[in-house]
Amino acid sequence: MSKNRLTFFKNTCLTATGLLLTLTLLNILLVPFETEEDLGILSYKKATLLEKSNNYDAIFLGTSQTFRNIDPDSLTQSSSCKLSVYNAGVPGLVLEELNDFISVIEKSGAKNKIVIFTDPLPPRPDFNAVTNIRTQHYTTYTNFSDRYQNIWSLPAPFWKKTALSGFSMGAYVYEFLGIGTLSKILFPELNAAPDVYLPGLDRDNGYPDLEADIKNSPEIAARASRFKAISDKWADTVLEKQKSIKEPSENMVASSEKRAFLIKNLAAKIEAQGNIPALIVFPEPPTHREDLALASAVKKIAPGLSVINGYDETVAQDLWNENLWFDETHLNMEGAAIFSKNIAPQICEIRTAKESDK
Amino acid sequence: MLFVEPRFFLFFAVVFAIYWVLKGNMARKILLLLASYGFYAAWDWRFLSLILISTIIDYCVARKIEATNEQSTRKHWLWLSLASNLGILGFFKYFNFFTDSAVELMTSLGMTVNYTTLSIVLPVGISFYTFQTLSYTIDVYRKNINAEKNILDVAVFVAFFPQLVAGPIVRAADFLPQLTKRREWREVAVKTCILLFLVGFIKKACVSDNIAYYVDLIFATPGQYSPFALAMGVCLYAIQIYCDFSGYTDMAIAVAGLLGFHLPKNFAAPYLARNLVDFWRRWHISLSTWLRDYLYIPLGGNRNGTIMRYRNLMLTMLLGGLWHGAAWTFVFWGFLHGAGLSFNHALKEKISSFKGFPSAVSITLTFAFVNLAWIYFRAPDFETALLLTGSLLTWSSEGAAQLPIFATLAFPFLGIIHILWQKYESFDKVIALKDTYFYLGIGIATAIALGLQPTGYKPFIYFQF
Repeated sequence: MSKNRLTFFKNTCLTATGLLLTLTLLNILLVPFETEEDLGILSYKKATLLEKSNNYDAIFLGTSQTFRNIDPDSLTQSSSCKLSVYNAGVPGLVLEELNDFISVIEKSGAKNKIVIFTDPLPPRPDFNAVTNIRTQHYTTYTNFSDRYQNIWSLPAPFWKKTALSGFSMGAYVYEFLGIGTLSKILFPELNAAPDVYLPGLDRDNGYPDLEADIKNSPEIAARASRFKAISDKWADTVLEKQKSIKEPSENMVASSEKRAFLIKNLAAKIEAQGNIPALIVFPEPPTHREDLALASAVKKIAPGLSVINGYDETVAQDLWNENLWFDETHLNMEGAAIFSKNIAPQICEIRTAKESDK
Repeated sequence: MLFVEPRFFLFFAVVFAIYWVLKGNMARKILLLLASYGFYAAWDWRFLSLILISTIIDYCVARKIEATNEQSTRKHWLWLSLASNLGILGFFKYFNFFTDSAVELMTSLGMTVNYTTLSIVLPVGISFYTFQTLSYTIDVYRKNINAEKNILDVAVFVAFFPQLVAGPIVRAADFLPQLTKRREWREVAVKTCILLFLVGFIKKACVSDNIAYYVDLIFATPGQYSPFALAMGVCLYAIQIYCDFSGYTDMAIAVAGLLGFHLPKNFAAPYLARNLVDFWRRWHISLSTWLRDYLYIPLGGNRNGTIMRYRNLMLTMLLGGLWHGAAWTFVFWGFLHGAGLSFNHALKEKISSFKGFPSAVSITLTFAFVNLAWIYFRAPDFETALLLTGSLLTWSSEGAAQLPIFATLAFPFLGIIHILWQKYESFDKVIALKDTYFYLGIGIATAIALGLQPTGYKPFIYFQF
């Protein structure tokens, strides 16, 4: 090694030592100053569940598909068993957040509730997602195993899982760097009142108002207009695709088994709290084949777990119409009302079965 | 991609590593060009075409100017460069401003005008690279430099990523010669560059971005605050803009330095200036010298008598104000500085020397004037600016709210640190530390600076210009 390189290496090591030692010290010293952060819709729904879980018969936990596709009022009105329902769906929900919601239900003391959850999303592979406040909030050492389990149980190619792991590691590095921790203490904002946009969540059932969302959120408006541009051919394309998908291949089912184990564990956790778990698979044209494979794998790995399959004829028959969707993967309010109405009998069946078990 | 974001560190680490591994100068220049275009594309790839157009036009124009000795032909080519560069700048930056102003004027004269405002996005850094590339053709026209034969060098000069979006405005005469020779690692002042980057990072991320919140509050609702809070808010803005811009410049110089390039100094403790002339020798030096060499002197400078000198000063500062932003508040800011500079020169002519004037008083007076002018630079409109000015001059306000104590203390605290840092030449003393202490200290200071950096990155103020 040349003298230049040796000096460069030595100086880099010295800088890294100073940096790491100080960061470690700051991480320890600043623990008492940590405060509960406002995570927008997620915090709002967690608080509602903690306070009111006992008011509902069925609680939906999941991603943006739950958030947009489950209309609690329509479900209540159409259910023969008169279920009262809360939509605790949150866009972008990942495993550690889903686990947090399950813990909140436990803390609320709710029992004998039907907790219907979706397959959580993997962490998003982009830099902003790694550093955003929600990801950072859940980037804790106790969540480390959940995050990696979420990634490595995916039926995805090895390179993709490796890349996702890299991004996740990035989130831990970012957390360790402690960016903003001292700033928050020394320069607090004067009005701590959160300025969080909650699209129409004032109805006490957790369901958003899509029209308000389109009006107030440029991202949602852009998605709606993108879908509008392709919507005339969309329904035909989807129906064409449907015809070609009868059953998922054995290979696909096998590759979803790890994921099915993860879902089985989630269900076991809900069951251990004295609640009734059920998995819901939403109709989603772009991932149709994968969704069916997961549903089959869950049936195999966790035969006792109720699965509400959104692709069932009884549920999906009226849905393949472009006027019922706001983008390629989410129903609009009219579509959500129909979908919620269609799944109501299955949920009532779950409840009846549980009652007869007793 | 901001200098204070982790993704910039990743970007730079990759560019830095490849750059020093490459042996050939040509390969390095290609890498710099690609990296620069990539850096700019991270903002908005669509506007890369404007940089390319400017580069190609000025490369060709400079060659054409050099190829002939006929003065009228040379002038025609120069006009082509001026028209195209200023045309692009004018369209993207000033089209709506002038249209709106004309419509307002016509409406006030009782005329009815139907028009639509175009939705024009301002390309980041356009004011900086336009001035930079203009100086190249003007210098070739003036025969101060030769036209560059290699278009790659011109392209790197226009797009060099450390200073592309917010300067310093580099002259071709200073930069192009640096591209002819392969840069050597042994010539890089590593400790200086690292410390300069860290100082810039602290100024921007730890000072400017933290106090920005309180400044925004004051300028958003000045009527709610007491005169003392308003005065503190304006002083904090003075600190914010200085730390933001000089922080960026420090980091730009450091990043360029780590690649073996020298960029000119852009700030020299401007708030310690003893008068306004002195202030402009210390603030945004690359712009003020650009305006001096390419506007003030061609207008006649101080060569045609006192009146013409003041006219030239005023025109230069008005255009300098307009360069910053397409709004009348910026023009008025330029006017205040033009008037202040003229007054300064007049005073200097009447009183042969300021030497008898205590420096603390002259520094305070200059700082107060600069602060008063900053109000028009920062305020969203004249109404807010006049309200603030009126409250400060009469020391009265309808509001009584105060800024929190730590925000109020930030001004004297940072002021004292700045004075001590300058007085004791602390930068040089830190550089002189033994390597072991220096690098350990850099690690420790970086960790603390990261903690002090607020989450959510704020763009540099000067990016909007």
